[in-house]
Amino acid sequence: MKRVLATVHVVSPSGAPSARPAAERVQFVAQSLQRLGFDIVRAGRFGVSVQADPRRFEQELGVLPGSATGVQAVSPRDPSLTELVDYLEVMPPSSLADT
Amino acid sequence: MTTAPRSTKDILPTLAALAATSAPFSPEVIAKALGVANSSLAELVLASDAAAKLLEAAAEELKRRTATCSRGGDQTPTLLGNSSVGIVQAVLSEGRLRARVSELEQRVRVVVSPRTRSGVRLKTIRGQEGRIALNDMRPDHEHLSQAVRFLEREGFTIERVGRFGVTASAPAKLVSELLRTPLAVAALKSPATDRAVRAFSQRLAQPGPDDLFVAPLQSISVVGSEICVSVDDFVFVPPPTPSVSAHPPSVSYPFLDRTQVRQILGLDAMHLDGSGVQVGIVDTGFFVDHPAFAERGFDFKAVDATEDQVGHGTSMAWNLLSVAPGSRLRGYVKDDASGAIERAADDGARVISCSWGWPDEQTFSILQLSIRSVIEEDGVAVLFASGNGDRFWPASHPLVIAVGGVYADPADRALQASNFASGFRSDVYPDRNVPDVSGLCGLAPRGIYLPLPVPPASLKDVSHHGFSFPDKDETGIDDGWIYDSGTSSATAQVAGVAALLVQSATNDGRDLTPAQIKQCLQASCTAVTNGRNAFGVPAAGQPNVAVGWGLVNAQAALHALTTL
Repeated sequence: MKRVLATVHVVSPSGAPSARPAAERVQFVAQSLQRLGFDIVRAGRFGVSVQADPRRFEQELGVLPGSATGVQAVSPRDPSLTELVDYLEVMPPSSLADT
Repeated sequence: MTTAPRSTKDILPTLAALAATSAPFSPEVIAKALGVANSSLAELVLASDAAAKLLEAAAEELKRRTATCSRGGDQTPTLLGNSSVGIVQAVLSEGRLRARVSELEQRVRVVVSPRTRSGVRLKTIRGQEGRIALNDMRPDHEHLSQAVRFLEREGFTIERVGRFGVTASAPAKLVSELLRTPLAVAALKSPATDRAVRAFSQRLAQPGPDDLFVAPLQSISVVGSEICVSVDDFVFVPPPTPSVSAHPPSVSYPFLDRTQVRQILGLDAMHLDGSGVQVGIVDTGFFVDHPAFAERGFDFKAVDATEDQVGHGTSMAWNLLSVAPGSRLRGYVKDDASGAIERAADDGARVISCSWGWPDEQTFSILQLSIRSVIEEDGVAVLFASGNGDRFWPASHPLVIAVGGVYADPADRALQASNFASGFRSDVYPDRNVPDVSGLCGLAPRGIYLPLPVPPASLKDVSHHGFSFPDKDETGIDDGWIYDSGTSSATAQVAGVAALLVQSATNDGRDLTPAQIKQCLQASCTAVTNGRNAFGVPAAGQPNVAVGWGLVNAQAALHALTTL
């Protein structure tokens, strides 16, 4: 099955959707996801971009990215992540602005 | 930053004073003495007769100095001393060429043709090789051995003993003395870059380091028998013409070359080049080793994705560097779009160019947050393409600079909305019209319009090649060039102009916010009120939904900056 690239959104302490989480919090989530078998592409400002087999997403985050794109709420199996991540986002390949 | 060249009359005393010192007569020293930026010497030569004359004077001075050295004891003039004034001028104006000449001074390669078994000189059988038995053209074994021993005794390094010749190398001075012939630096031919004179000139383009080679003044081969009885000829083989040229192939239809693009965008008398400004470009990948980039010595690196299987990122980088050739361009792959944009900002970009998007204004939350963070928290100007017949997001995001397309007729420079470019009212953001401004973009069906370098045999090289215009671009399937455009190219062009604005503000000791950059660009556009965009929207009024405020003008934008 083709590997999926997705960004897991990290919740800020305030819980506000657009608030930026602390870098340490993002790093913790990245390390946790790596421990759970995800390849870390980048620990960013608002989330962690990861790549893995879709079954890994289903097993650890309770979502099956598959062919779906956009935002999906996650249910982490690891309790340490329950309060830290709320959704993941899968973006389809962008279109180039030429021929 | 360049300054206006001084007259030849002012320059000669400076050069004469330099010649009287022990300072090395290098481009860096010359540039410093003349009060111009070293990197601008080549541009000066191209832009100004006065600058060309002063470099010619520098070349003559160098010849005089090498001749003086020769009379003083060193009997063999340097390679450059024997070379044509044009080559000397070119070498003096660029450090990479001077470094290459230094390499050639130390190591000139020559192919030695030993006497053959049949006694026939290989040089004399050109065109008849098929009629002579292969074995008759092989070197006589004894003569081959003697030739190798002779070369080694004389100080040559034997690189290879082949089936028909010996490849050897030695310092230029040694080779010249042995063969009793002066050697000079020459350059491979390459077509003129300006279409107008291409039919009349073999070379107008500055040679690259790999174009230079060494050969005797009269012929690329020297008769060997008077030097070594076992050798028929010493042959100086020029480097082959690379399969990927640093210059685009000729085509039969109207297009805009790099010079014309710069003129139309208000860059022909531009004294800024983006120096000191880091620009991020997020795209499919980047072939930074394309000869088109290498020849011009851009500061262009791929932070990730040094491969570009599509060819889009490579060509967008060219668009941007055509406008801001002095900028520090860093490429990031767009697969993890929010990661790439954040990383570009973290690495110090002041401008980020993105020639892609999602149709139907499909939005993505985390990317949206990243874009907003980079713009509001880092003060980075982020540009996105409006699309080519699609309604692109993130172009419609209110904080970004959305770029549409204007077509300038190559014949008369008349401007009209490009019928290949998108312009629309956003369905997502209230009161948001796309684009804000426009760059240059070709016409439907494919926007084939601007010569752009791509990795040879990349997807775009293959998809564009062949006949005929306007569906194909008449280039080769793997020649490393396409003719293309779209709002992709327009976005990269405008990003280059944004870099010039940042440079100007920085030179004045001020910061420039992304909103101010957008404001300057919008306030200074050339109005475009002809034509319709890809959705049939007419370019009526200013601003309009077809082209925004119009076609960006760099010179006018810089002026607008002063009134901010």
